[in-house]
Amino acid sequence: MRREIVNVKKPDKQRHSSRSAKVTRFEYVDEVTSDQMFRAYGENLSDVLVNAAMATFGIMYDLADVEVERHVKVEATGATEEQLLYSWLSNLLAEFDVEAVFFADFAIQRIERDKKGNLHALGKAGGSRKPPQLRTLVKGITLHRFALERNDGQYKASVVVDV
Amino acid sequence: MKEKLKQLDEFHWLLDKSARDKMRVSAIIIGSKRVIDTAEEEAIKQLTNVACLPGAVEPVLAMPDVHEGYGLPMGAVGAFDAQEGIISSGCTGFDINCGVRLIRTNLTLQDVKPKLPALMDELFKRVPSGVGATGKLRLNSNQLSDVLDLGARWAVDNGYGVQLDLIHTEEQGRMEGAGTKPPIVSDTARRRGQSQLGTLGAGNHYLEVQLVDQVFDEQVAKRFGLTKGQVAVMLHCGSRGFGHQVATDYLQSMEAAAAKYKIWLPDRQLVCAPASSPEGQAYFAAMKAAVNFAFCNRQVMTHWIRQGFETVFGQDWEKLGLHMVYDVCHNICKFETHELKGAKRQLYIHRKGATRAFGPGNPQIPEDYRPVGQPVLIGGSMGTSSYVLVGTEQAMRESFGSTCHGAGRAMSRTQAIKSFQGRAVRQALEQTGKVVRSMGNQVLAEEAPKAYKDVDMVVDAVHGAGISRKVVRQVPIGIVKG
Repeated sequence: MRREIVNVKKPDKQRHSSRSAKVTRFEYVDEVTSDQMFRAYGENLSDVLVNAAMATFGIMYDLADVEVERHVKVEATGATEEQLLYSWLSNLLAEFDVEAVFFADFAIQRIERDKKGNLHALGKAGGSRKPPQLRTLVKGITLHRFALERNDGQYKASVVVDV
Repeated sequence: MKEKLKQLDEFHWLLDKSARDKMRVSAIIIGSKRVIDTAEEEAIKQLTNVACLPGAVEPVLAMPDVHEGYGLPMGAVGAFDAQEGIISSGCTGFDINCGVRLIRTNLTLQDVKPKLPALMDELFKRVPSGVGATGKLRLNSNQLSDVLDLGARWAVDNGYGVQLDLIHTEEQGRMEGAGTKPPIVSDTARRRGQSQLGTLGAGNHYLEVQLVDQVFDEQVAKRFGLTKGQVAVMLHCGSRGFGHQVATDYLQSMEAAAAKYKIWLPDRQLVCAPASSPEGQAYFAAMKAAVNFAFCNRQVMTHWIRQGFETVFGQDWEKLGLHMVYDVCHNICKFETHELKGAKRQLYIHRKGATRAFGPGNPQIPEDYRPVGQPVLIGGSMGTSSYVLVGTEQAMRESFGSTCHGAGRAMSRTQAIKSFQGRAVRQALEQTGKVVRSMGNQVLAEEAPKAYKDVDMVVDAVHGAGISRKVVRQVPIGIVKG
């Protein structure tokens, strides 16, 4: 099955900061009472996927407290880029539970589109089994106000997670 | 939207279906004026969204602990006709069968206080809690399937409790007809569940040792085995990663189903399918598996709590009187028959942050409680009071046999972290004599008492509205938080 390869950018060196030297990677917004909302940004699809992952796991603990010693492959699928984002974040949470690894480092290795137009992402998440200082638990990614927008080439994701 | 509310009496407020476009039925908010004044505009708007869904049965209800959530707001009930209506994974939430269990003892404060730090240490050690916690039980595939099918019954059959525990659990600890394997329950959900049975979780989940400090109804309290000055244990947790994955899987599949059946969604989170459709019934079967997992989870932890007391007090748990009062769900969808305008109707009742509160005589209540009504367990926020209420006939007539579930958040987690220091919250609790055990301090900031509504206000409102009556109040003396 022929697959089109979508452009993938390497992750930024300032791994855990919500801001890189030039742009905001993600920010938590105080717009929902019982849960937690964030916006993540990126210059391309892989960037915003990585930054959204950092925002999600940053709710549970400080990513800078985790020393990466192992990696887990994580795949995601979606008919649209928005569904791909949902799948990526949800699958990361599932692997966090199953592998019992506290993820802190995320990378997208490739994104492909199949003949039917569905997107498939292959990525990896790095972390440690040693628990950092813990905060609260993200139970899932809601569809409430969930959106992935693209304006002037910039991606913006809006995500409300259930905690 | 608040300006369109019409006050019917002291505790009932009507939002007529003309309040906005596409509402099929009206909504009722149960609460005092203070409840209405503190309710968020967005929570009321979310209530009206649910009233737009097909087959909605009047009224869509908000309880006094209502607050903005996603889809159905927290502290709300949405009922749908079984034939014409929908079933919604978005209206049940991620933590399927998050619920509360109360275990009484025959100990007093005088018995417990000298040993309280040791008791809390023992409970903290025995009951895994916190983010990423894995359990002490590792289920193989067949065992997991049995847990998903049998619920708390599996735990009792395997030595984690007694038959009376099941009798005193909503649904007797098991919803029949659960799906246990793909395609109903995904492999990912099963993988997540295999290592998490017997874990408390994190966030607003807790285990509290409490003291009954006030009795409002002596007769009902006696029936429930509760007396003033008695020590009890309250457990609040749900279906863990298993339930979260079921919810995630069906959010995605129901989004496709809503499009397939051309259901207009005022909020994307309200993904749903016709209740009688294959998609709707698949979700219901998977949800039951998550319900059963949660019942089993709380039953296994009950056993470890009993063992903790045995170790500290040096006596068998039965001699210590650690018997179940009851166990209730507060995030669930149930298939129930209710009498509406003189006719019996079969409905799918979605309770999200709401508790069943069946009145006297209902055959689903355990026989020993049936003459007085079903126990309703209301967990307060950390460090504040909890309550035991009893269900009423009025609840059956007015609220699909439902009532509130707890305090409800008054402040976002972000605001709470900015406003409170976890260490200071811990110190404030300890200064009042409470013993606190937690995996970290930030969760204490997020769960600070002032981040929640006043539970006394919430309970007084449901009592005043007549949908459940106060029986006893408990205050925490020891707290384990994830």
